[in-house]
Amino acid sequence: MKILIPKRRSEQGALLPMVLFSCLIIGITLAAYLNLASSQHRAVVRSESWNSAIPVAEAGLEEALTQLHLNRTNLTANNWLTAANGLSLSNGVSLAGKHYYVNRTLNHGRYLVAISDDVAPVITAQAYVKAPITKQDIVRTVRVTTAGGPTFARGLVAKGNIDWSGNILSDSFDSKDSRYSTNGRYDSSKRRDNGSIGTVDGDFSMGGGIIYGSANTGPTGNFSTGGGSVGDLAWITGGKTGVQPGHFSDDMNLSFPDVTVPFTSVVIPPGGWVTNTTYSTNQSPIATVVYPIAHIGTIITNSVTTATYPTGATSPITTNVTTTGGRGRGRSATYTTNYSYSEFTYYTNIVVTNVSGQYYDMILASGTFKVLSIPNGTQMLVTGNAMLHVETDVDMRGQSQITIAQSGTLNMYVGGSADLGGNGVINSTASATRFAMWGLPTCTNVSLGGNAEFTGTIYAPQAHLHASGGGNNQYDIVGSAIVGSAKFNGHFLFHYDEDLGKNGPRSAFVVTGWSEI
Amino acid sequence: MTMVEMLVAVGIGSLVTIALASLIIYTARGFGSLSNYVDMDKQSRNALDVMSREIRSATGPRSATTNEIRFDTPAGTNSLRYFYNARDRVFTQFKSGTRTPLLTGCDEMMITIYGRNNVSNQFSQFVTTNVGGAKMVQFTWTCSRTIIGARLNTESVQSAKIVIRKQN
Repeated sequence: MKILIPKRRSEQGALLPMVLFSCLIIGITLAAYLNLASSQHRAVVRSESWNSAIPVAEAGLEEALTQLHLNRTNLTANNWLTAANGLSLSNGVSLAGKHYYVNRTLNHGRYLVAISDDVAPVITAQAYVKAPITKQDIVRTVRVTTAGGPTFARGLVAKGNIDWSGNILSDSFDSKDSRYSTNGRYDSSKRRDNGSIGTVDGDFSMGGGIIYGSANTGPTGNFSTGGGSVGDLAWITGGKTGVQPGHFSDDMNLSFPDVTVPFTSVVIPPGGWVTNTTYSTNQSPIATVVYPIAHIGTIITNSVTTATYPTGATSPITTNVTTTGGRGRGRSATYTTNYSYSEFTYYTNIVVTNVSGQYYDMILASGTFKVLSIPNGTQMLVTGNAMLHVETDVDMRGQSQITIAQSGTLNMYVGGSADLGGNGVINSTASATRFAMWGLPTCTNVSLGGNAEFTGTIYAPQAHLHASGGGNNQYDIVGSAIVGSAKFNGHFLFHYDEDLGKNGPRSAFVVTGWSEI
Repeated sequence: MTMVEMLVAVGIGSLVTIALASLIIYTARGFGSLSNYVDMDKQSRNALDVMSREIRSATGPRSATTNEIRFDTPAGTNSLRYFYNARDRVFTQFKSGTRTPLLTGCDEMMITIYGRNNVSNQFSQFVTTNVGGAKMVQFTWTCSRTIIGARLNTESVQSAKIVIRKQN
C-alpha cells in the first residue's frame, strides 16, 4: 500500500523550528544550571570570605597579646600609634579613652587592632576582607578582655613525671594574711588547702603522700595515690584516703616559656664585712611614789597604807589614829599611826645592744650582677632589689647560705645546675615573692637537700628537681616551683604561699572573655 | 509515502519523543536536586556561622549530651542551648529565650565535646566527659530532602569543631 500525501510548499523546513525550539529549551536549562552553580559559588566564596575575617581579626589579637607580653611598659614599640582620646572604627564601633593601635595588611585582608590603656587591657580587633565580585570590604569586629594570670598558681607544676616517696606533704598558706599565717610564716594550725600539684605531660605517683588541694595530670598521664590522700581540709583531717571527688582532673595544660636573662649591663658583686647591730628590749615594772611625769605609756596608781611616813610621796598623805583601851584613871592608851598615799607603777624598756660582724663573699645591693658560678661555701647577702646572672653552677652545700635581708629581693638566673642544700636560702622577709630562681634552658638539675630551708620560687622548665632529706622540721619548701620533672623523697613538706598568686610574677595576658561586636 | 516509511517515521518520532521526555524529566530532577543541595548547603553554612559566632563567645559549657548542649555566656548561666529533635528532624538554637531553628530535615546530629589538650603530633584534641573542662565542641550532622519521590542527601556528612575562645 502506498499512501500519497501531497507535499505542500509551506511544510518544507518544519524541522528547523523544532530544532531551534529544542536548542532553546536546552539552552535555557543550561543557563539555569550555570546560573545556579554561579550563585552557589558566589555564596560559598562570600561565606569563605566572611569566615576568613575571623582568622584575620584573631591575627590582630595575637599581635596585641604579643605586644602586651613583650612591651607592656612601652606599647608604642613596633610602630604602634597612640589615640589619646579614643578611636572610631568601621561599622559604628567607637573606642573611648586612650588606646594604642596598629594597622596591618595581610595577603587576604587587613586588620586594625587596639589596646586600651587599662590595668586589665581590652583588645579590639577589626578585620577587613574583600567580598567576592563587589570587592567591598566585609568587616567583622572582635573584642576580648584580658588578665595577667599568676605564674605561680600552684604548689608544684612539672612538665614531666612527679615521683614522691617517703613522707611528702603539700598544703598552702598566705604569708600576707594573718588568718592563714603567723607573722608571715607558715603555721600548720592555719594551713589551707590550695597546695595543688600537677604534671602536664607525665605521670604522677604520690607514694602515699598528702595533698591539701587537688592533683592534676594531662590526658595521657597516670596518677596513683599509693595510699595517700588528696582533698580539702575536711577530707584529710577526717582521715580519709584516696582522692576526694572533684579533686583530680586530667586536662592540665600549661606552656613553659624558656627563660632569658632580662639584663645585659652587669657588675661583679663585691664581698665584705657587715656589721650587724641588734637591739633587744624587755620591759620591767618600776614602782615609785613620785609621779613619773616624763613617762609615755600606761601608769598604774593605787593606794598604799604603811606605818612608816612615806618620804617623797606625792600629796595627799592621810594619817589616822586608832585608840584602844577603856576609860578612866589607870587605864593605858595605845595609838597606831597609819599613813595612806598613792604609789605609781609603770613599765620601762631596757635596751640591750648587740654588735657583731660577719664576712660575706657576695653582697648584693640594688642592681644587676653577674658571676661565673657560686662555689661551695659561699655566703651571700642581699640587701637591695638585685638580679644576679650565674653563668654556670650554683653549689650551696655545706655552710653555704643566701640571706635575703628585710630590704632585699633577689632574682637569680642560673645557667648550670643548682644545688640549694647547705643552710639554704634564709629569706628573712618570709615572703616567697622576695627570692626567685630562674633556670635558663641549660639548667637541667635543681637539688634541695639536707635540712635546707627554701622560701621562694623556682622556675626551671628544663630541670629535674630532686628534693631529699628534709629532717623533721616544718619548714622545707615555702613558695612554689615549676620544673621539668620532680622527685621528692624523705620527709619533705611543701607549702605553697598563696600570696604568689596575688602579688607574685605574672604570666602573659590571657583571654578572659571573647565576643564579636 | 509508503506504509513502511510511515511506520519508520512514527517509530523514530516516538524514540525522539521518549528521549526528549527522559531528558526533560532527568534534567528537571537534576535541577531540583541541585537546587535542594544549594538550599541545604546554604542552610548548613548559615547554621554553622551562627553556631560558631555564639559558641566562640561562650564562657563554657554547662551540660552536654549527644543531642543537646547548653552553655553559659556573658548574658547568663544556661543562656545558650542547642537541641536536636530527632522526631521532627529539627536542630534548634535557644538563646536568651529566642528559639531559632537552624537545620530542618536533619536526619542525624552528633555533639561531641573535647578538652583543652592537643593530642601529641595531631591536629585534634582529647574527647572529654568533663563538661567543665570542655574547650571545643564538634557538631556532625546529615540533612536530606525528598524530591520527585527520591530522597537526596546533602554531602554525606557536615562536621565542624568550634573552639570556645575564653582561656581560663
